[in-house]
Amino acid sequence: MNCFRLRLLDNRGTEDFDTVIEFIGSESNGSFGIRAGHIHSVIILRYGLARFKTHDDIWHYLTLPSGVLHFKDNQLTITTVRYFLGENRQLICQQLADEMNRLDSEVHSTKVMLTEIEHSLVLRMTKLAETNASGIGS
Amino acid sequence: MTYKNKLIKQTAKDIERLDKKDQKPFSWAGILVYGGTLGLLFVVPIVAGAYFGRWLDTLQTGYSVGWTINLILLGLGVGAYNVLRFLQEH
Repeated sequence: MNCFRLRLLDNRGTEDFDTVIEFIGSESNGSFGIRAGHIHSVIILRYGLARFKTHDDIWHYLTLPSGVLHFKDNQLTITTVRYFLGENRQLICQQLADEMNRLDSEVHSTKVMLTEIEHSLVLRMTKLAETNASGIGS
Repeated sequence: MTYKNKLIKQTAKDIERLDKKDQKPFSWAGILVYGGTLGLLFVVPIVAGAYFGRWLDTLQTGYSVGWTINLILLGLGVGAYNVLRFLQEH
């Protein structure tokens, strides 16, 4: 069976699937499919779900906030900010929400930590300034 | 709408669309096209074999049906293989 290679790129890194049989995605005008030997194409994917089938007949569901699809020499590359991958499409929405909440909470805790660092830095600088001022005065 | 909500909403919409598509029963037109394709894939090699075999037999001296029968059998094999491949792929 004819296969092609799929490479997913986002801000976390790269993930490769070597034996993809079919890819179905959506752009602004509707859905489209790609199989091995497709002509050279560049497509802007819209927000939402795309899917691909590997040689073991498993559909993988991919949800992404738009992205750029590039197909050349039997290699499909999808570049996006962030993608979420799952094999059960009924659960993917929940997984997506959970993952996004986790990311939000990580960002939130990082912000809180930065604010704390900033506060202690200001406090320390104030103390130092006070110490220096009293030192000069005495 | 935030990027997060938009993505979740659009994904849910796409999943719903896929589910509906999977639940949709086969249409008569679809069955007709599918069945017609299968029939053609099976019959065309047999008919072609029969015609070609008949033509070859007319070139022989005397009465002969050897080419016709053999090419019909070959067409039968090719037709069955075509159908098998089609069913595997669809």
